[in-house]
Amino acid sequence: MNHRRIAYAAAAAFAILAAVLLVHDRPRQEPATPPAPQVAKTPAPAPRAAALPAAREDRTELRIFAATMEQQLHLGDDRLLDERLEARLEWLPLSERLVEVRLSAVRHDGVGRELPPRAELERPVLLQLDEAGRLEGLRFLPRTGEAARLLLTALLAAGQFTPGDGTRWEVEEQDGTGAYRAIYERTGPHAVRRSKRGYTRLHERGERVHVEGDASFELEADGGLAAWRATDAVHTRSAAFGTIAGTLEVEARLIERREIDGAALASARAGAAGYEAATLVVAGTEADDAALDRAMDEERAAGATLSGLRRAFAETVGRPRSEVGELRADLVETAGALFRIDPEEARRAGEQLGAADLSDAEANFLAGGLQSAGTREAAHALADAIRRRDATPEARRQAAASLALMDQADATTVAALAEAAQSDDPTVRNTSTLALGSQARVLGTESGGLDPLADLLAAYERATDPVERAMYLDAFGNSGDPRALPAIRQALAEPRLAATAAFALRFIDGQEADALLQAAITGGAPQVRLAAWRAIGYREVEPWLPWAQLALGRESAPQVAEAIHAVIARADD
Amino acid sequence: MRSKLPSSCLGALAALGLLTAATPAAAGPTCKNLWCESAADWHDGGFGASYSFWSGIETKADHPKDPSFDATYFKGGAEMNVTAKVLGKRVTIAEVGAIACNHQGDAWGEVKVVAAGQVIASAEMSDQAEFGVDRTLINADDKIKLLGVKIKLKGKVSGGVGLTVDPSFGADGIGVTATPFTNAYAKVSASVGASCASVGVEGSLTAIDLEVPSSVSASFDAGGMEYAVASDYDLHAIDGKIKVKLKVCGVKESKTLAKFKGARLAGGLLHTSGTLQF
Repeated sequence: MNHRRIAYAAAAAFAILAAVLLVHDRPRQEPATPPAPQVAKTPAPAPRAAALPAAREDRTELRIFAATMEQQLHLGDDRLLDERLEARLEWLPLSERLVEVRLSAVRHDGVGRELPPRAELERPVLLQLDEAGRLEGLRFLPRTGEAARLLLTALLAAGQFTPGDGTRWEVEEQDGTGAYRAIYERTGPHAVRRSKRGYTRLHERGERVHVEGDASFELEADGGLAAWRATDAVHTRSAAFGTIAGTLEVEARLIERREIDGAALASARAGAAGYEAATLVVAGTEADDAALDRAMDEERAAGATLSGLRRAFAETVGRPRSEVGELRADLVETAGALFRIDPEEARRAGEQLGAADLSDAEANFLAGGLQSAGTREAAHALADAIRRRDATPEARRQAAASLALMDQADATTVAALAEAAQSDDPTVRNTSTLALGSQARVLGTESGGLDPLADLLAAYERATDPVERAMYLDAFGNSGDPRALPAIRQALAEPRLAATAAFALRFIDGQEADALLQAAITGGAPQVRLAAWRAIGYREVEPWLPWAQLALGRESAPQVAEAIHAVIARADD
Repeated sequence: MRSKLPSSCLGALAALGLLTAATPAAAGPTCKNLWCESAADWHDGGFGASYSFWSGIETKADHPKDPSFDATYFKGGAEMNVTAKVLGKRVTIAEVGAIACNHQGDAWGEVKVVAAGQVIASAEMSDQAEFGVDRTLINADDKIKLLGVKIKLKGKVSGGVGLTVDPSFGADGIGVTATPFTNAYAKVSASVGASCASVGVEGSLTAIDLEVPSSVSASFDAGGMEYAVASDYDLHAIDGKIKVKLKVCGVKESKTLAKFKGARLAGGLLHTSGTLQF
């Protein structure tokens, strides 16, 4: 019997870590997760020379453990989860790198989570090990529910035992949450302890998850495992719910050994092909997220119609913003939900936005709803409205402003804005040009051949009027594209354009942009210093704090000093 | 002057599981010479707002030691900067201004509307104009997965950003009547992906509702500058409560995500006229 694999399975703990996972979908300038080293790059310890043989061709040994698990989870001071599981854990090596594990006689009770059906918990699962005996992943039978996958992954990942030589060895292991450094220490002739202190990376982006875990393993004389005990404590933080903390305790003891004959072993091996690929990640799929999003949209848009929303918005005209502002915001958001649920409604809104008789308020509403929707269909509806000959200048302007505030850009939207940027109406031309800069930001480096910034740079070179040049500088600022740096640098030397140029640096990464901002805050006129500090407010502010403290002491312009204070306040976030 | 409510004490309360209620510091505006400014910053956990505004006229008197500002220097108008924070994500949602300048022999006026970091209007101040948009200004998600129960929260800040402006540029004077405004409201929606769970959200938060109507004018002759300033403001900020009610497979959890008592400040900033002698 291969004792290291027995020990591994016997140490199966129920890692709460895999069960507590915070994920933030939004892009973060400063990922809260640590840098992501490649966990698999860490060399695993060489297999121990004394390792017992794995399953032989003709027979193997089934080991059965009695296991108990208790875990709690708290949101702040309130207990959200409390559960206990008792089971027999059957361990059957099928080959050197494949083990079948099956729970039986499961008794699982608790509150705070959806309890997986017992039948699913008692389905077999395969453990895929690497050459060194380290867990690579679990292979489930198809149609195993997520609740069961989570529990089994936690169970079989937390107690993993990666063998090593000597009295102390380290290895990078993974569980359902991420990768961590496991430190093993031999504490006696028949005893090993394992500790883990924090994740080196998480499987998904999100808030940092802190873990402290200790496990002790009792070995039999032949190296097989007799008992284990593992404890884990985790905590993390949610922006909404605050601190989330969990504890886990699991204990197990070998209660039975049984020889398995060749026929049974061959049958189990033959069934291995029917399992899914090995993984330790039981993450929510995009489809799951989409379902949750849709449920929220359906709740918001229940009973709403585009015509009703439009009419309600129009009725706010002439009333003080302080009285109708929140209603307007609600109407726009509800329209956005409606357009996400039904893209055809977004298309219809685009048609209405392009109509000749549209009031300014209705244009604002329709463009706002489409921006709120944020979908490709909504962006195309806005582009359609911009290109309609009958569209009012205000409708085209509102549509362009919406495209400036969306994360959707493609050939359709860029073409519509490029055309509108040549409009005879100065307000349409202005907002469309600025939106082209925003579209360049969204397109980024994967522009598919589209390069609105190149056209903007060329137009800037041709422009002689300072007002027009300032508009292009603002468009450069929206793009955050470093290719605009030469133009911005030049404009910083022109008093009339310097403040606009300084603000245009806000999204441009790199040392040159930093250097230009430093020059602006130290040597510029008050309006330039103000624009520069406002630009810094959009950047990662920590590196600027020493500059802010220094500048604050000598800043004579109160408005600039206030902008510096705002940057410092940002650091508190 | 910036007033600020630190989060440290509130965070300690939150850790104790107590209901946190931020009491906004109600600092009034500061006025000097011919201009006024005001700023405040409120935050409590994942929610908050801040603002600053300036309005009035800046003259040589504000830069007495700087030779680059001559006696005809003039900066007048109004501008504001507003941030909001939802589910831990803070964004500068608005920078709106209408400023006219006379500096070193050059006179110009500029109108700028920046929403969520994007300049959506920047134009020469030439004619009477009005531009405002009602949009989603912040999207923030918080997704939690607890033993197979997924809870997704979506936070949004939406509202209006813009201004009205009516400038006048003559041979011997400049005048600007402008009202920049920002109003923004935070809402949270929630969904839970488990058959034995449900979630609901109550309430909303007025992040900020700020208007700074201002009218400034200046005319120059050999003897000095004749001026007039009339600036007001109307602020309603950080008011409301957002509460999430969660039922997860036998456990009920209620969490107040944000609770603010609100700040209301309004009144005249500066109403004056006269002549500055050079």
